[in-house]
Formats: sequence, structure tokens, C-alpha cells
Amino acid sequence: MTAASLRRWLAERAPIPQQWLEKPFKEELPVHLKTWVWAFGGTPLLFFVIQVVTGILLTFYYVPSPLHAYESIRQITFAIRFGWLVRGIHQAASQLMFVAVLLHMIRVFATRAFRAPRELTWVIGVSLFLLTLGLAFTGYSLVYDQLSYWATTVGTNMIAEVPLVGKPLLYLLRGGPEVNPNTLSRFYNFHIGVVPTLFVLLVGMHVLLIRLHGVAPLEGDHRKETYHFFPDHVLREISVGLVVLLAVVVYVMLHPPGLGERADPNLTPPHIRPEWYFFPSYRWLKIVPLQVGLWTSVAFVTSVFLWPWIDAALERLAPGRRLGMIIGVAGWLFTLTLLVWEALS
Amino acid sequence: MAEEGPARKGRREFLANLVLGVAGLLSLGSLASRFFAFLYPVVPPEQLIEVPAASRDQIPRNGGLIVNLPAGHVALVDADGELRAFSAVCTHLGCIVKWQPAAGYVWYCPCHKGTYDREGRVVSGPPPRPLQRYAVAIRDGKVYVKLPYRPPVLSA
Repeated sequence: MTAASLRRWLAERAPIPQQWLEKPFKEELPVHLKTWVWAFGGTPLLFFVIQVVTGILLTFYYVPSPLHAYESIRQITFAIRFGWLVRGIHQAASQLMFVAVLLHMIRVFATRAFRAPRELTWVIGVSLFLLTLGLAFTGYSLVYDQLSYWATTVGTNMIAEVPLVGKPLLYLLRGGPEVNPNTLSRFYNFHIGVVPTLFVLLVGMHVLLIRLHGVAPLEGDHRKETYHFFPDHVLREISVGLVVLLAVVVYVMLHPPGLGERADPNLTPPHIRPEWYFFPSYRWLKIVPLQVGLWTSVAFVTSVFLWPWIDAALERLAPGRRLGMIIGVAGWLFTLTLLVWEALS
Repeated sequence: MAEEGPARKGRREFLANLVLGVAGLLSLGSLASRFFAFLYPVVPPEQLIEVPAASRDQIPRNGGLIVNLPAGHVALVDADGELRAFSAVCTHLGCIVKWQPAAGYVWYCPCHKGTYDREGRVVSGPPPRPLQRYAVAIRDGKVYVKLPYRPPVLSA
């Protein structure tokens, strides 16, 4: 069978129009994308793929039950061949995935690429950011060492403070009023089932909207030249991806993952702290009353969701004064200050 | 038989779609409510029970002790010879407080640095409420504490 006849055979059985296959590759991109800064758009997705692959590998050995979870992680980390590498990559990539999503968000914010008609792309993007945090939080809770157990307790207890729906939501999430054996299996399910499924659906919608709208024009850039998505841009993305992957592997080889003490529901350890990406919220909760902390956090997240409309309203209020940019940068700096404050304390 | 008018046909089609739509929504809603019930834990109500928590001599004069019981975490404190019992669960976000007497407080929460005095009152930090107080009794040298207990959820 020749290649041509094989192609014909395939085309008859899967009659996908040729232009559907070719169009995404033939897309012309505005020339402002032809810098390394814009080659990071694909890195969050790359990290997600790394997480899926290493996550599937980890499920071969991980046991989601309070009696066996810690021991299975210990086996993976210290006994099973290359377990340290698989878990190490999963752990490091989860942190870098958060950084990659955040950097992408900051780039979109700084270039105001969220403006009409791309508001929905931004809203879906913010949802993906929250899902990334959800993946990190649920994944961290599965380790079942002291810090992981108490981070789960503290993190979920916040939900109980939401009026009316707080308690039922907490019961649903934990599978009971307290952190109990059901909690671990639920978090395992969220981590490998519910959240990744939502993530894939939203990434699909995000990418679809980007393709339908085309790349957002850069303010002040009037160049008309374009360049090819394939192979030019794809090659740049692949180069970035390979460097990132190499960096992750080298990092894990130099800092193989460790494991704290087994979870003890009777003893909150001293110096308990969540993972660094929760530092801003952790520090904020230390310095303000609980209800204030909760509602300001809700207001902050809501304003990030609604940012395209807030920015447009501010622009109408004071045209050309870039009020949105000033307020936004102040918000980022405030969050960064809380993070650094907690890191240094 | 007279030919059916377009208006009548349209009405009939609309009604058929309406019935189908409502029936579909009811079936899906009914199924969804069962799925939700499947996921939602059966939470037994709390009961007040009295349990032995410690020996009286385990708590020195003006000292404190955390006791972990199957029914819950209890903070016992001796205040000039008078014994008091509290829930050891911090009212901020649910960590277990530690006996750590210092200036003005005796209970310290390692999670967000909340502190409480020997009356269970908040001294500093973010806790929104005092520690929950339990009734305490001493019989035959043993400390008995009356605390709310919730049996484990159904599938736990």
C-alpha cells in the first residue's frame, strides 16, 4: 500500500475537510508576537501535560486512603525506581504551572489584551487560574504529611465562614463536618477527575475563543507584517518548552522531593505554613479579622474576573489617564508585598 | 375530514414540545437530586456526652493540658485551683491550640498566631470567638468533661 493510497483510504473513512486540518497551521500572526515574551503562552499548557503524564504514573502506586496514603508516598519517593523523579517533576511542575499561568495573566493584563470583544477569554483564563490553584491545593492535601493535613483543615475551614451555603458546601467537599477518611478520597477525585476535566474543557474554550477572535492587537503597534504560526511560532514554543522541561529535570535532580512527618490530627505542628503561592492569602488572614479576610478575598477575586469591564468603566471615567493600569498595578504590588512579607517572616 | 390549519398545527407542535421539555427537565432534575444525595454526607446530629478526660493530678496548679479524645480535642486549665475545660480547636480556622503560657495568654494557635487566656477569651490574633467552654466535673480524682459529640458520618 502506497502512502497516497493510505491517505485516500483514511480520507474516505474519516472525511475531515482538508482546510480544517490546514487552517490552524496556516494562520498568520501579527509580528509583535515574534519575541520570546510571547512564546510563553503555551507553557501553562505544557506544564498541564507534564502534570497529566506524571500524575497518571503516580496513580499506579498512590493509595488514596488515610491509612495508606502517607506510606504509598514514602514508597514512591524513596523505594520505587525513579519514583523521586516522577514525584519531583509533578511537584516542581505544579509550582511552575502556577508561575506560568500567573505570568501569562500579567502579560495579558499589561498589554490590555482583555478588552472587548475578548472579555470572555479573560474570564475563562481567570477560571483556569483558580482551577490551577485548586489542583495545587487538592494535590498538596494528598501527601498526608503534617503540613498537608493541616493545610487541608485550615483551607477548607474558611469555606464554613461563608453565610448560608458555607456549611453545606464544606460538608460536601469534606464528605462530613470534619476532615475524615472521606475527605482524602474526595480530594483525590477532585484532583484527578473533576478539576482536570473542567480544566480541559475550559482550555478548549479559551483556545477556541483566541482562534476565533485572532490575536489581540498590541496598543500603539501599527505594523502590518505577519508571520507564520507554523512552523515559526510553533518552533519557538517548542524551544521554550524544551528549555523549561530541562530546567525542571535538573532542578529535581538537585532537589529531590522530601516528605514531612505523617499526618497527626491531634497535633497542629509549629511553624505551619501553606505552599508559597498561598502566602498572600495566609498573611492577609493573619492581619485582619476572619470575615474581613474572607469578604475582601471574594471581592478581590470578583474584581479580577470583572477586570475587562472595570477597566473599560475607568477609561470612560477618566479617558487617557490609565486609571485601570494604576489600580491594577497597585493590586499586583499589594499581593506581592503580602507574599514577600510572609516569606521573610 | 377537514384539513388541519397551520395555526392549529403550530399550537399542537408547541404543546408537544412543551410536554416533552417539562418531562425531560423533571426526569433530569430528579436524577440530579439523587446524584447530589449520593454525594452529600449523612451527618448524624450532635449529642452531649460526658467522658473521662484525664486524672486531676495530670494538671498542675495554674498549668494546662491538651487531651485528644475520640469525641474531640479538649483544653484543660487550672486557674488557681479551679479546673476549666474548653474545646482545643481554635475558633479561627480549626487548628489545635497549644499550652504555651506567656504574657497575657496561655493558649497559642500555631496556624495564625491566635492567643487565648485561661478564661478561653481571645487575647490577640485573628480568632473571631472565644474557645468553646465545656462543663467539667471531678469524681474520684478523675476529670469528666461534657462535650458535644457527633458519631462518624455514614460511609466514613
